[in-house]
Amino acid sequence: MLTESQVDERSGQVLGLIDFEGTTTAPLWTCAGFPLWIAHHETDEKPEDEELAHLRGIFRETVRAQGRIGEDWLSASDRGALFRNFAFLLDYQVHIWASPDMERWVDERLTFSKKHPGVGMPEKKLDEMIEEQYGLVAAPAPFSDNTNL
Amino acid sequence: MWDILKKEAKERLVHDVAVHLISLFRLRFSLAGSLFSPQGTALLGPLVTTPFFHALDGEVRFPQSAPLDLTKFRGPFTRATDLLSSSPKAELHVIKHRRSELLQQEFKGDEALLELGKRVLEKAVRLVEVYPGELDVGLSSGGDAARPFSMKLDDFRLANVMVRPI
Repeated sequence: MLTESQVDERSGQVLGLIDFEGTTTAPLWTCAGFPLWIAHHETDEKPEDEELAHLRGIFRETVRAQGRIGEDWLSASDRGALFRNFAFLLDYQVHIWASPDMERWVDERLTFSKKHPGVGMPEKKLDEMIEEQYGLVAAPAPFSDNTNL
Repeated sequence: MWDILKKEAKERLVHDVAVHLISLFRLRFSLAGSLFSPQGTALLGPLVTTPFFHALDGEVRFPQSAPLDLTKFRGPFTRATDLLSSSPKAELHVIKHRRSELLQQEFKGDEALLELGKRVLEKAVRLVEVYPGELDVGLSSGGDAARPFSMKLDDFRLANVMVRPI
């Protein structure tokens, strides 16, 4: 399950990746997520961290510089972000699914996908969800792997 | 470790990780499952992911009951939708065969709430088929139909980054 990298702490040079036993193989759009430590979620309430934004830029440019395979990765990453939100939920146990909000979330996407195959349905911002339900504003996002670049 | 790296070192690390991840992304597989490495070789086999752990974080979900055999839900798979629906299908199997335990332990006896959860899980299985289903999302080159899978690093986080002493 683990992937571990060895790093020279003076230069930051990655010396190797080890321990791939148990790693899964999966559809490409699920594989093309930014490393968690530089990811930013669209629904995050906190302001964007300047250093992380800079590092994401370096990551993106490095990927793009790899040529067509890099372009494919970026495209799968961007267009797959909203689908990864759904894939992330799928490991949840039944008590997490047992809510009217979850049912509405799934129903909306069942309807949306009929009209827009292959397109992810935009997630509502937290403020929008609260305002929609209560006419108020605030609180944290329930889940997201929606990398905002 | 991350916090003590200088800006230039972080930039180098991120650059190197990007290059390595793209190298991994070049690898394509005909099966979706988990990697095993018996005796130095690499094999793709059944999923080893959290829904199939006997004890998650050391805790058995239904300690008073015999373990359920979820082998048939673990693949490996040739279709993306079969992979992605494996967890909710396994959970529906759990609902069917451990209903009374679930009701007691996780639903405080609320039958209606458990039925809601079951219904939403069934809808989630239907959603997997179309959202995005078998589509190669985002691939301009059309992908490789015979080998549609690549490596997914589920646990690639800073806590698992090792530093070689210098």
